[in-house]
Amino acid sequence: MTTRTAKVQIAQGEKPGVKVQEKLTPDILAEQYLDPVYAYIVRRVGDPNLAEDLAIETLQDAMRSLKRRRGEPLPWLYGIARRKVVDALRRRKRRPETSLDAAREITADANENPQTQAIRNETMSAFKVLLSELPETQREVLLLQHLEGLDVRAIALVVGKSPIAVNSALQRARKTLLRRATELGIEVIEVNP
Amino acid sequence: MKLTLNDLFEATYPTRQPSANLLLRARLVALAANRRAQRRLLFARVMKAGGVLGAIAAIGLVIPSARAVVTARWLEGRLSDVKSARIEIVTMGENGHNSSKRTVFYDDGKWRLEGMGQTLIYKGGIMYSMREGSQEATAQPADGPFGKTQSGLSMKAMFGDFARWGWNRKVEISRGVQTDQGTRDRYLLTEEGRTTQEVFYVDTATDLPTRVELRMWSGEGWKVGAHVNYSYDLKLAGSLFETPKNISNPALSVATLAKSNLATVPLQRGNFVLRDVSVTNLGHVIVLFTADSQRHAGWSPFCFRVTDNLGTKYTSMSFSPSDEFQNQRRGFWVGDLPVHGEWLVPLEFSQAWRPRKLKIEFATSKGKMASVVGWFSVAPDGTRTLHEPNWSGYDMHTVFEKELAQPTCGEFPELLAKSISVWPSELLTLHSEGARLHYYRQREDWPKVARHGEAWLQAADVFEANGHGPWSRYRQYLDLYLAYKALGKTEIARDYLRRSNNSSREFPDKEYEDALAKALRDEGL
Repeated sequence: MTTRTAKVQIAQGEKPGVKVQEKLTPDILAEQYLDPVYAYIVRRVGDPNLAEDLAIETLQDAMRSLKRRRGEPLPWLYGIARRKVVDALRRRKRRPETSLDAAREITADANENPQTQAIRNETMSAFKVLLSELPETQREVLLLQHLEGLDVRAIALVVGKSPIAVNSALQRARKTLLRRATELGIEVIEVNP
Repeated sequence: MKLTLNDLFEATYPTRQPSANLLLRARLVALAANRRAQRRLLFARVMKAGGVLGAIAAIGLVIPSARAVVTARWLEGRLSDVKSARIEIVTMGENGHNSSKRTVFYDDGKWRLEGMGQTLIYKGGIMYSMREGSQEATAQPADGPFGKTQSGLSMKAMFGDFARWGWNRKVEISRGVQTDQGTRDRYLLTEEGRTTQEVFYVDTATDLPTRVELRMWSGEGWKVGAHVNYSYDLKLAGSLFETPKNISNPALSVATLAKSNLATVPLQRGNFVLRDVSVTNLGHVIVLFTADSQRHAGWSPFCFRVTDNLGTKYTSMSFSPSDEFQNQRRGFWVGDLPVHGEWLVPLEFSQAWRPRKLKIEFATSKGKMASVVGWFSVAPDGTRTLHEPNWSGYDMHTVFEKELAQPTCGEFPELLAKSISVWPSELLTLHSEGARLHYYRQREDWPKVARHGEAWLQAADVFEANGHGPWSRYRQYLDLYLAYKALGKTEIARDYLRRSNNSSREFPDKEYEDALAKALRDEGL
């Protein structure tokens, strides 16, 4: 179920605020949702090869359960992908391996001078450490909000918690993150997402 | 350097685009899902319309390739032109005597199939299967008893189905032929390049076949390999279609699996037990095994190497027993051991339906970081990349070497079906027919080269029609030229030679270029 904006709905002569069901097919899943699903997974597992396998598994599971889908496609897909990621990360914990692609994750920008690059990379590394210090749920809700651009209700669907709990986790995560960032000397401008 | 939280997130986790290979894989997955959905829709329509089946379904049991299909795919079937039927299928041995008999009973949408060591009862969307001599049945939802959806047993229905499936059988009809059963119309069905033909003896009053002979080319002439006898509108005992009382679900019997032990390899840190082996009609080998996941946790991947009786080799994808955890009860378990299924993609393979000898080797990596690459990938432009594992880093253990009695010897079709659903059948057909063509071309078995060459071309057409490809055909055209020339069909041969010469060369190959140049000289083209 996809909600279109009130503006589009009014333009098309529909009642604003009414959820419009768009039929989701395997083709649409493969063509329109592969990118966000892959991006979601690769950010969490780091290894692009593993992320590709998990993205395909996610699509396969989604295609098999199309009829059972409730709600908007993206949170639903992220929910499936999240379970795949959790399984994969558990496996990795038992069988640690280093991905060359993951090591290359922090890359240099050709337009930046080396000093700025160094500072930037250092900041990114420190930020990653800060994120990794957060409890798993807090980290996940932050990523879903800032990277996947989901609202609180959609995040709640993905992580299987109530919107109130998600909101609370977001507040706590942001507060901790900003405090720890300040302690480490990372200057963060607080802007509401 | 001041940054917003959003900046920090985006810089730390840059967006990555999926690779071309992933896009292709996603499209293939969608294609497979669409096909499954289409099949379900077709069944629904067929059932709504009230009916379908097929004489060829019975023939399908006789034709070995189709017989193998039967085990893999089940489609809905209800006859439109008869209410009940008894179909007896007798295959002949080398000496001309009957070697095996199977019987199919049909009664108003219900089916009973006896033979091949098992009994299947299909009714109401459920398939009950029982092993011979066992009272215990397993039940599973099934779409029907046969691999093709036929619309009826009559000749008219059969030819309609052929047209629907794109089967180009040539038909010669002889009217008023005298047989033991009386006067019949005789239909001879042949197809260019096929080494089998069917002779139908048909009752003119009903348009229904009473006997079918399946003939095979033996090198000296056509010999009857099997015959099928039909009886219609009988009063069949209701007990034939009774729902078995003792049904054990799930269909996968863990108890049976636990008992099965084809081979055990004692390894340094535990046992590896090969529980079951299945070979699909497309030649995919599925090995079910257990390994002590606790002791093996953290090992480098294992892999398989499979060799068949024609000397062709298979390489497997990698796996690791530590992929399963005791606290994650997913899939199937035998005691405390998870059951693994391994789908071996056929890089080259032989005719899967024949009794075949399989040698399965189990490899353990000598080094911790040894990587296993045993997959092939198809790039969007149709080029195929083959990755062969480097076996030098492995210790090989032969775990299974056996002549298989049946094309599919596996006990656990659910796992098999789950595995083969991953790839669309077109891609598998393309690769498998290509492998057969290559194999028979090397052995200069020209009738088979012609048959599998044509099948490969058809598969390539289908694959391209689904938006994948293009596939270069000049080698296959040249093979077909050689085959038809050897079979004395010079016009067809020259046509293929012209096509080969006019085709693009994706992978220029000196051997083929030389052969093509020689053929062109020989033909004066």
